[in-house]
Amino acid sequence: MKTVLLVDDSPTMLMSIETVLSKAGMSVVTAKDGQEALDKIAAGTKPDLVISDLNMPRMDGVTFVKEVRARGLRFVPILMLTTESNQAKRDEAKRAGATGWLVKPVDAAALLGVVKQVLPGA
Amino acid sequence: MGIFRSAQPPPADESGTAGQNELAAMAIERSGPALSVMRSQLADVVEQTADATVQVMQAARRADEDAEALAHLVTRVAERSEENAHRVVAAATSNASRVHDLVEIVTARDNAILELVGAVRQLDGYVAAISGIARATTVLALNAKIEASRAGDAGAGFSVVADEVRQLSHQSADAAQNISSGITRIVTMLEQHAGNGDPARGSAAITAQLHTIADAQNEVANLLGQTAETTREALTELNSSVGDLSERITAIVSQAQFQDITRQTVEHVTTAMDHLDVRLAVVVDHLRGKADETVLADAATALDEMYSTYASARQRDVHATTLTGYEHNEDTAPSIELF
Repeated sequence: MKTVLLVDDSPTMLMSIETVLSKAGMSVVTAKDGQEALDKIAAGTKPDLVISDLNMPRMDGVTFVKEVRARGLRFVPILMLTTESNQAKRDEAKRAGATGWLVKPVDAAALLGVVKQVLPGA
Repeated sequence: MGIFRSAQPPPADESGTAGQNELAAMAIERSGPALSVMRSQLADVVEQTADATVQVMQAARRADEDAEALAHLVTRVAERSEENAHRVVAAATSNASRVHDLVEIVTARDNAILELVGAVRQLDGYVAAISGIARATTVLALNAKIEASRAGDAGAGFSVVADEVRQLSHQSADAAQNISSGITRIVTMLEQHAGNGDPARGSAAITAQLHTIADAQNEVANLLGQTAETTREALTELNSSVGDLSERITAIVSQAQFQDITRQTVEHVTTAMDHLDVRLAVVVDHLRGKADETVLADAATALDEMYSTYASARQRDVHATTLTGYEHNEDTAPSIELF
């Protein structure tokens, strides 16, 4: 079973995306911001995929991506899931090491399609 | 009324521009609580929609779990039903075999009885022969008696023997008759056990009853098999429905993202209202002569600042459309992009 680390400060987003992924047979670990997600990784969570919001308290998504990459998780795909459609932000996330960019709202089928693309066998 | 009526108007002796400015400043200040109330209302709406959305998602997930539990239950029932059908079919097959064996045993017993009847009837022939011998002996004893009479005194002893022989022949005839009657009774009883060839009686009836029981059991096995098949079909249908329901629930739950988008938009509006509050305070200061006109120019940039906080293209489109009066559609990058 693949493990997905889902990071978002919105409880409704966490519950919504967690439901979609867990019903598709994935194990989902949630965190309400970048710092909490890093803490969970440090505590032993080994994600096969990370899906993160961009604008969050304590640690924003781009910083979080940089921190994840700096911690040696260089090949774990990271998808940004955000309402942000600004191209500059998108480029910034790309430079930080993000794998892809999804603009909210994304329907369940499209989300799972992207997940299967970046995470074969999911 | 309350808070909007609490501020007092300027003194009656004040007049001219200064007085008008103070009135304007007071009017603007009175709008402050209204803005606060609006911000609170918006925050409350966000909180309520968030709670409602979480509840809807929880309800949807419970419905999904219930549907899956129901499908598992029906699967177990179908498996049990199929297992029972197999057991009953196996038992019916086994019983049919036993019935066949029993029919063979009963038939063999019938044949043995019929052979016995034949053998007993042969005994009746021997008894008839004994009866014939007894009759001949009686005649012989009678002749001996006659000859003994002719012999006079010399034949007296022989006459006694002839009488004894005659009595013995009578007893033999009686015994033969009793044996014959007994044989007839035995034959009748044996034939009754064998049913006398009547299908409604004896072992033929037992055989027929056994076949009826075997047929009834086969019927039960067939019915149970049909029930298992119907349950299997219902299960297939139910699983398909549960799959459809699960997909619909997933789609519904994924739509909850709109609540988050709404929350962000409302938060931006609230932030803009905070900015507006600050700007109005500056205007009030200016009206009261506490700030020069340069601070008013900054107010023009408020909308630009608000625009810069927007995250989504839709927010920017609504902003621009509202200000210009014609529809804006920002060119956006694809909503899904893999780098």
